Amino acid sequence: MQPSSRASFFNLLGTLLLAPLLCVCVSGVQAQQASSSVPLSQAEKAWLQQHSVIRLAPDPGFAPVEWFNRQGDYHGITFDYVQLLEQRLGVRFEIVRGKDWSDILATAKAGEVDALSAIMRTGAREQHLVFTKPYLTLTRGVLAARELDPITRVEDLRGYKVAVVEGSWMDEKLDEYTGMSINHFQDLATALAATSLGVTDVTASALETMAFTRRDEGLTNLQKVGELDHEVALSFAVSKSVTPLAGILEKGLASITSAEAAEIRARWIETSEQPFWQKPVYRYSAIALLVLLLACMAVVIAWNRMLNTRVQERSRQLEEAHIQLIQAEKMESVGRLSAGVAHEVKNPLAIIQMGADYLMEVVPDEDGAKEVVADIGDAVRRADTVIKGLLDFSHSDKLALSSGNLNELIEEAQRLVGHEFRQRNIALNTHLSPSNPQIQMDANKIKQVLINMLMNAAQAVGGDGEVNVSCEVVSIDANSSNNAFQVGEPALRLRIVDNGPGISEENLVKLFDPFFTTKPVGEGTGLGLSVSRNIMELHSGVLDIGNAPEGGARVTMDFRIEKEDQA
Amino acid sequence: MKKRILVVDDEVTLTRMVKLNLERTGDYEVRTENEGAMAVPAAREFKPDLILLDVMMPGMTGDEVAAQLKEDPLLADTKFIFVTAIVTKSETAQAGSNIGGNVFLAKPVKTEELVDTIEKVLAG
Repeated sequence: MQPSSRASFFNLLGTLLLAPLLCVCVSGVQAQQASSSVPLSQAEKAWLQQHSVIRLAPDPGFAPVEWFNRQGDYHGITFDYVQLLEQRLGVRFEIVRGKDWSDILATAKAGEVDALSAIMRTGAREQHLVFTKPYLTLTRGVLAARELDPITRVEDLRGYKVAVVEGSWMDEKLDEYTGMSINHFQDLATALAATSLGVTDVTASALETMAFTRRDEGLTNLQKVGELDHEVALSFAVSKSVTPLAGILEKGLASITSAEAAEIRARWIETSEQPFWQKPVYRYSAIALLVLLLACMAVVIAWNRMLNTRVQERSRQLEEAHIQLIQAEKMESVGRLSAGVAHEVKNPLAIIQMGADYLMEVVPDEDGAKEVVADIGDAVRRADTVIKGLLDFSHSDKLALSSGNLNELIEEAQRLVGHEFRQRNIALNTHLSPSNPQIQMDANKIKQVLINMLMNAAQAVGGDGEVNVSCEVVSIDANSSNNAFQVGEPALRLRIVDNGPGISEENLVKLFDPFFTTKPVGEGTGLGLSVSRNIMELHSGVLDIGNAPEGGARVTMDFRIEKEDQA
Repeated sequence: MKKRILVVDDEVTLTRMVKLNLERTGDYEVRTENEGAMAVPAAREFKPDLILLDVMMPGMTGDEVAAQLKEDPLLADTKFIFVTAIVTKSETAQAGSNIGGNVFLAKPVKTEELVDTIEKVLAG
């Protein structure tokens, strides 16, 4: 993934995460601002003045209604109510943290705390406590870790091991039924864990609190198997010793509008069971997964492209190697044949030569007879030239190497072909760098190659042309790298460029084929270039022939420079 | 007095042509042989001044013939010219090392060139 796209992904993720939080904060502020004065009686005001601090004991494990989080802070729906009540009644609640619900009930009954904040009214409890009107209703329901027949009544729980929170309204309710298998747990999280692990069959409690705890504890295997036909109506309850507080709290609760109540509820309770794909965690995970998938795809595509390039490169190299192999095989078979052919052809040629010599002496010089005999002699010489070429070819793999100066060799070759160039009125210009290093070479064979190339150039330009020869040290670039030289390696480069018509594409590919020639019959054996290339390869050099960018044919001969000369 | 030349080559036509051309000059008496093995007795009988010897012959090769003749005291002064169908440095070096210090000619050779070489060798 590119840095920019990664950054934008996190921006998006951040926005998605922060948006709901911001909504919560804003609505919270609105709730606090929507305060109204509570019409208390004089007696109530007086009572409050005497009781400025009210001891309140919330249920420590009744999320999301009320609970203490891991940092020990009081949280939940009731906490929001408590905050509103503090503002509107001008009281201060002192939060008393009990061990568990049973403990809290016990302290309340004993009058050790003034009020409980989220409690269901029952006949038994009314003996010790005074209740406000309910301010929050929850739905009773049952969760299980496996498929069960639908449960709609308390009776339907018969036969199942039921987990409940000890002392809870559900616990008390189930006590009314006989033959129930009830398992008591200190808090809801433990009860749900027992069902999740299969210790109990079901957990019965308020659906809203079970959904919250299930998510909080990650008990994802628990599913709702039914709603019971009883609502949980939660009220504040006060100890009988502080009975006037019930009326005061009642008025305080009445000041909270239904809109405020709905807002508080929505803040903590999901209004319906959201399908899993609509849950933010799932959505963020899906986005992250999608991004990851796209990144993987991008990597795969890039990898694929790289492989493809490599395959193409490798195929090209194989193709080149294949062509070289075919060429090498061609050369080898020509070499093998040529020695045998030379021997077999030279004897008949010798006979013809001797026969012609004899006839030249004896035939009368009439009707062009002697001319005919001379033609026979010329034909023998031509044939002999071909044979000599073949023999050069078959024996070109042996070099007599010695250190030599290529500039001097070029000048010698220039003298040898000078006559030919002058006759055709072709300018032969040389540009030889005086600092050229000595190289290891078979001077005779390189001279043979040079003469061959120069004569080819002379024949290519025809009359009144120009042939330029240059020789200098170069650094091999990517365009001219090959099997013999690496890119950046120094080489002594000899170039012969003519201003003739150049070489056609069709002929370029066949140039180095043995016996390929564009010269008129009798003027070339078609072996010169293949022999020349062979000689250059034996020198670990390269002979390349192509067209110069400015037109005309261009011969490039790259020679290896001895290591000590490279510096 | 005419110089005696023995021409040894497995090519019958070639030996006949060489004989024709050399005898036509009027300076040479020429005998031909077409097998290496026959060359030794022929030389002992003919006592040539010079032998034109093909290097590559079936059976007994030119250098084997020369080696045998050199051992014969009666033929110690006989000169040789080796004629070969394959002219390369390696070929001549090999043959030369076996026989030593002899002249080589490459086929096809012109009569003029052949006569010049014979005269040079006979004189040397």
